[in-house]
Amino acid sequence: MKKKRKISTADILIAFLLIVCGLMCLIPILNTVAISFSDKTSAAMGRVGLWPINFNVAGYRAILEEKQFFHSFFVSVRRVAAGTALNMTLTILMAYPLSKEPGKFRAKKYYMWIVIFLMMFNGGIVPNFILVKNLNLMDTIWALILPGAVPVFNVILLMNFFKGIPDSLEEAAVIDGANPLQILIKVFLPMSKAALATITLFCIVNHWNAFFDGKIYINSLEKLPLQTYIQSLVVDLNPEQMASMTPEQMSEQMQLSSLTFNSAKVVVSMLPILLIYPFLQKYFVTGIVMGAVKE
Amino acid sequence: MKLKRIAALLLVPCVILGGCQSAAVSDETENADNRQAEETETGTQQDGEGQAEADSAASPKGRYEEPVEVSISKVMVTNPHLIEGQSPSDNVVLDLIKEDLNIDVKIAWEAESSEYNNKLSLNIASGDLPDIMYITNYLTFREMADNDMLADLTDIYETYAGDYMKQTYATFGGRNLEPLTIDGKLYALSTANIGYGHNILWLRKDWLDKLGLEVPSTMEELKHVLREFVEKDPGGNGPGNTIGLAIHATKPVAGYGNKFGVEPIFHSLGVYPTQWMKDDAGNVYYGSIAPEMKEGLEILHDMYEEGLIDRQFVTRVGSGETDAIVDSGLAGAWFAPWWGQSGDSYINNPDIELTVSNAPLDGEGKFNHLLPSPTADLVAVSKDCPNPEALLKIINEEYDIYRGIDAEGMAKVQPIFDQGVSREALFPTGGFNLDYYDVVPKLGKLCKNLVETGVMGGDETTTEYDRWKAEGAKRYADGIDPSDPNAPNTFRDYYGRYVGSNILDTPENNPVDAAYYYTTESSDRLKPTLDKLEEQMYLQIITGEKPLEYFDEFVEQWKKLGGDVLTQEVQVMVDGQ
Amino acid sequence: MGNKYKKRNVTERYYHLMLLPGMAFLFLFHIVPLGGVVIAFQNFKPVKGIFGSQFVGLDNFRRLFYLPDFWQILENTLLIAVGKIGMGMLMAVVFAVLLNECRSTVLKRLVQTSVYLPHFLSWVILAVMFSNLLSYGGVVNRFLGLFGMEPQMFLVSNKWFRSIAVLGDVWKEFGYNAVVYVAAMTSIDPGLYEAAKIDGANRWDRIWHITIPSILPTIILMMTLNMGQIMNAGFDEIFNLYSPLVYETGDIIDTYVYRVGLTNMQYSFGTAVGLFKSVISFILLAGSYKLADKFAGYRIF
Repeated sequence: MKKKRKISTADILIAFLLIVCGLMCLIPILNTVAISFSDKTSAAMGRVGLWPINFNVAGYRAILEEKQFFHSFFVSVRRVAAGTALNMTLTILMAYPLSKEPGKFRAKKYYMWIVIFLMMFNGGIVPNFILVKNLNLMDTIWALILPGAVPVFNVILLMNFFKGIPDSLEEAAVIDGANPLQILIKVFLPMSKAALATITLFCIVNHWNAFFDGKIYINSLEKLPLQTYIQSLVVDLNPEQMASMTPEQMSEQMQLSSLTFNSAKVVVSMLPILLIYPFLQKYFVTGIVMGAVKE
Repeated sequence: MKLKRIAALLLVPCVILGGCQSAAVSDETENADNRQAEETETGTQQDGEGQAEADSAASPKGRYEEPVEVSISKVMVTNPHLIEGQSPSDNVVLDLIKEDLNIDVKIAWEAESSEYNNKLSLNIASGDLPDIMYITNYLTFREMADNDMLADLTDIYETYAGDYMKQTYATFGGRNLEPLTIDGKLYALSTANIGYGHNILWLRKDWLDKLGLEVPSTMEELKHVLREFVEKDPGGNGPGNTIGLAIHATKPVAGYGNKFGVEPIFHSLGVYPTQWMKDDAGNVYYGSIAPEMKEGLEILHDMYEEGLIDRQFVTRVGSGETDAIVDSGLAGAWFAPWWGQSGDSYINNPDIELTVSNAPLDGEGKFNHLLPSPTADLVAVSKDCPNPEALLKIINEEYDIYRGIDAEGMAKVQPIFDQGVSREALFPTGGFNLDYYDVVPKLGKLCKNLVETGVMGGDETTTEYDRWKAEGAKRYADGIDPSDPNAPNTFRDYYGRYVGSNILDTPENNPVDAAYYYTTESSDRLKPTLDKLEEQMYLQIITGEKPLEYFDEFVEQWKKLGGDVLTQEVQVMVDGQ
Repeated sequence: MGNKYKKRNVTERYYHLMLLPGMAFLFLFHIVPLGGVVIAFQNFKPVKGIFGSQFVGLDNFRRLFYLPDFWQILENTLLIAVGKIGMGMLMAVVFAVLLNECRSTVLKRLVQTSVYLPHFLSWVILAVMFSNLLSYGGVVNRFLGLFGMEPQMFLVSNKWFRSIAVLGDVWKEFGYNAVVYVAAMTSIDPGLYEAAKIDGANRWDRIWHITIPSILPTIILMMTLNMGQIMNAGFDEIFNLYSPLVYETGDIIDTYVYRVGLTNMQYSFGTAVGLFKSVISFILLAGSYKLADKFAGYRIF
């Protein structure tokens, strides 16, 4: 039965459609890479397709010369490292008790309601700003990490994953005299590699991609995370600001907005994700599915 | 029981959030106490030994005996080109301020320009202001002043403003402090909104010469030149790639000095879009809804249809990509102020030649243009700051070293600026700028003199900076090697200071004063919607997405959506003046 | 018995302790700022602070409903969000089916790797890419030009912006959204397909009569869960793609709250709009969970 079947027209059509889907997702990225290696004029004229025109690395050379890009790059790296570590610790600690049946953990219901409620409501930007300021977190990397320390969605994901782990394993550990913390570390975590890898990937991506909190909470250039920095370069200038600028400043600003240069920055800022993602990808299908679609 | 617990839960946040407010209040009282303490202290000092010392501290550059700390908020420079050892919070300028004035400047916070006013509002909301703040929005200033948050600078200005500051402010004829004075009290200082920054027409001289064309003056001549540019492609950009007139993607029509804006076309028709104007009967009207606007829009739409305007202008993000087009030599003409040429266009093509024109002229041969707003960005001092005069002292120090009045200080600072480090990143007052109102044409004359006669003229107000610029223009005129790292700068000096700056004050120039430059009570509520409507109208009519007749509909809508209310408010303000 | 009861108490104490750090963070950074929603009922003046500002009751909400802009924004939000949910699900299901039908594991793996990728890129970055691609002379326009279409200014055209916003999001997320369906399909008994083949069913029949019915519960479940997202048209995407030119069709509740609430210093009004959105979303979410429970037997807790 499992012998090679002949390839039908339908097979070819399916393969073709899949390839189209795949390419559709890669073309914008390839186009950006091509622009980043093209000369300014061709880029500004929109002549670049999927292959660079007048190949050059001026955009990348400009990045190498721009210290701020690296500052921001490493701010983001630090943020990802510390943020993900905190996210994971809290997620694991919260998901475990919440995965228990109400019979085993009577207060669970109240905790869940609070968590769900908080998913939907927030006080808005002003109270959050005041809070961060009063906690003296302003202009520190903690202002970007602590407010989002508990990724509620991930907690629910992991919680559902934990629910799928057979009770018998836990009971066996209880008989051996293990306390819940030991059970979590020795029984649950080793069995949840896929889910943990998935959630780690989500946390990394989340921290790497965030730009808005950096706009609000960071007060000095050298501490801006990378996406915020890139975003600030792409916003356009309004005439009132331009009117009060000196010619020197103007030309600086204009220099910054070269398409080639921006594309090069975008490519470099994508690199970490492109490097990490393939390694964690194999886990994440299992991870999401087990967490989201529980029977 | 349960209810009580919920109530308690609800109260906690209020207490924690409220903490700051009460803290702010207690801060205030504490500060007041401090001030009192200080006053008595200086009082005893004056009674005692230090009469002379106290006098010297109470002078524009007087050094404090005890270290004074002030915090400042400023606009972030996103590309400051910093070098080792220089940062906004620790740099040579701050060192000099400490050394000469005994002031420790702390940067409280920075925010990028588009985000600055938001962040200031957030900080106001949180009840904690730095001692000195940069203010980018007049309405925010008014709100702060009206709510008694700012220090009265009237006497402080008299006592502590340095000679340079007083001299430069004098050239504005008081026009710049008037809007900052409320009930006779001065609450802020305005950065010099220097004059002559209106748009003029820039053209590729090499292209004109190649095609044997005259520099255009009228609208018809301009169109002819653009047509020739587009058809004959003198720059060899390839068929269809040459752009006649490069224009601003998102704001083709805005206010004063809008690089790549097309306002001069409207001004030549005697209409001043985006400005509050007064008719002969003294009635205020909004320039953008005047009937003559239609004629200007028609001209622009026709130019767009004919391909004389960049057909893709709407898709260029902001003005950045428009600049890339000009820099890469694709455009033959553009409207921009005297500084509207960039070093990049020279780097891309060292043989580039430019020229300028006061065009288009109106029916009477006049080149109409708007006067700038009397004020621009502001600096103000928090009412809670115990040493409000520190602001003036800092400004005095900054400009003494920047303009070479303090030659020793300049010698320390200039080499750093020469390496391309942004001045605004290092100066604690950031973009705050002091200059003579007519500095541009004056420096233009200096450059003209030097370039054409080889003699450096000037008077006592001529600074090192001026001479440096004039020398740059001269070096370019004498032929500089394009590989010289300073070549792009001399290119800018030559075209900006010599070519561009010498047509700003000529007889055909006709500066026009708007009736009113500021916001009114309902502006913050109504203006965003109206501005949006207006911005869209320009783009839609120019690109033909909507017909010219849509303008009438726009006027109706504009009035209905609050334009009439604003007009009335402005009328009241103008009548009151 | 008593011993067991005591043991349960000890265990529960552990549970409470484990929840403590997370709950502390949630309390501090979520519950505390919730107190700030009172400014939605005030005429909040920054200089007066939360405690000094005047209370105006429901004025801000009343103003909301009188504002012509508001209905436009609500319409934009709903159209974009519904478009994203509908198109997104359709695309994800179709893609999952295609993947399921593909017999080459190598191709499968390659395609999966590339379609999941956009999900992990930020809108800041994608906005740069999109503006390149969709520019007047960009790749998309040149491609459409091959079919004789006039070039379009996609990102600044009110005719196109909503579609672009929807398609952009569908493009970014369809691969990722397909994951649940792919997984649901792996649990289909292969015997069913074999039996169908023997009965002479062609491929189309098999998709239509076996694959789709098998993942129908998952589809229904995802549809219900997405109900809670109907007021969420995606701040990051719109914020990075829009411009004043397309406020008419592109402005959504979240961007409006940001622009008006902060840029124009109307804190109270902005907060009121945000609160309005939260309340509606919460009702929708709670409702959809009830529905999911009732029709799909799915309980989140």
